[in-house]
Amino acid sequence: MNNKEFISNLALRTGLKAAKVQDMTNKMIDAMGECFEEGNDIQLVNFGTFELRKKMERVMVSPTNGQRMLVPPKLTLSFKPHPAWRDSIKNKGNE
Amino acid sequence: MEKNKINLDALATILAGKCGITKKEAQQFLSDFIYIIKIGVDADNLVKIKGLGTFKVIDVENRESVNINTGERVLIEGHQKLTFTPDSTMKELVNKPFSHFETVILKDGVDFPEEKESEEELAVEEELAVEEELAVEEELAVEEEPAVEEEPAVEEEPAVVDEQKDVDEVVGPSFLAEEPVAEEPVAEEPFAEVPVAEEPVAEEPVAEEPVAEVPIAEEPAEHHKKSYLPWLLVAVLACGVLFGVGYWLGSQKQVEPVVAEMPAETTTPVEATIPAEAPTPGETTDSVEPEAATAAEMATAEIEQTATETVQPVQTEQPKEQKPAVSAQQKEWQKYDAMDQRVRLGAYGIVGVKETISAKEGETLGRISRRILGPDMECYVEVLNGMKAADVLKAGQKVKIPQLELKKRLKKQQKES
Repeated sequence: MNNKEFISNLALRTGLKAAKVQDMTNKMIDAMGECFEEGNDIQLVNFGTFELRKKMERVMVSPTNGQRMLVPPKLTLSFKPHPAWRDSIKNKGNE
Repeated sequence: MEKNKINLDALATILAGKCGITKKEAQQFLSDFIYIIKIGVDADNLVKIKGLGTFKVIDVENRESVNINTGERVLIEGHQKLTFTPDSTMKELVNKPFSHFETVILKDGVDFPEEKESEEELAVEEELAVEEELAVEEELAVEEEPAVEEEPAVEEEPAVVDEQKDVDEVVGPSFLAEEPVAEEPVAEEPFAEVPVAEEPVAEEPVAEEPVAEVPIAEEPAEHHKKSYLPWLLVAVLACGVLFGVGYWLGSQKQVEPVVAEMPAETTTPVEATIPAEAPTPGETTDSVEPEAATAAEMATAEIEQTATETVQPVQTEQPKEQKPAVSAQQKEWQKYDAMDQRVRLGAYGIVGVKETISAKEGETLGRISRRILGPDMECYVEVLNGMKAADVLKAGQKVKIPQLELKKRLKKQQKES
């Protein structure tokens, strides 16, 4: 499901126009971005948690030219699905 | 930055403020948003949301793991899991506080592996410089009195010793191999233990070195007068040869070959004239002459770092006698490797029999092994004696204790030879 499909599905679900939904989605993402900028996590019920993780700096060797590089520390966004949802995904393959 | 958890409620509040809708509407929108993502994940295993990222379900293969409590092997069955990859814009936004950092390419000399190399080069340069000085001194000395000649020779040795400390294994051993041999062919042992034994061995020859050199040094007096500069050049080049040959012969624990090489190199400039009076053995003089003759060309080639064939003729005579000894040892441990998997996978290779001891009544092989070699070395003793560690020995039964050598070192020797 790409962005377009997602928006149209969401529009159907909410009964709003696609353009409006896209706008709201963008605003919501902005809002989430602001939260992340402040260093907060976002926990959504029945969905999961968006977490900020700090990755430490490390020395890496480039596989192509063998150069050693110092990779700086960085913050990354990770998402952990809600346990119930995760389990349902996990077991889906086994059915 | 304090880490807070923002929940759906709080997010809805922010969203409501942004869109000018009620909080309830915003909440409804959010839960719909989540619902659609879930539907999408279930249906397509993939949901892409521009500006946020991609949710994707991936397959995880079966894999074996170990139960940390019991140590049992456990099979973790393949399953599926959800991954989330943030969109590049979101990634950058999140990483904003650290965005000013950039990946830096580490330069040489910042860390160990590179440092080794640069040190080596430095040492080579240093050596060259030393030799040059030496050559000048030598010439002066030669014109006056051979007695003075001793000095530069003595000077040279400590310099080399110093360098050995800096320059690591590659250069170190080669010098070592050359020097002790000059007087005591037995000096193989220290060579094997390179870093530790380096100094004492290297220093000994200092006293004796001149003996070999001095007499030879006398002769060229006349020649020096004629051509001062060329000889200086030759001296410098000769040191290049010395290095080249050293590298080349690196691991070979030489006895005779080096004897031949030794005087030849240290006195090359001088010797080219005539080794007639030279107190060196006949064999030495033989090899010296060709070497000295080719020294100039060789050295040039060496310095340009091209291993030319001119080098070969001089060196080939030497390693011949040598190789058998080394390869015999090499074969030895490989033979044992082939005999037992534990030896093959172990850190040590068996290079010979260190000693043979007689067992006491009721002793087991394993116990003797533990006593002499320490714990967990039974396999080497087992392989060498063709017995099992649990075997109970009779009084007076002979047990061979292996001479062990780190395989890392053995392999290096093998490579170098």
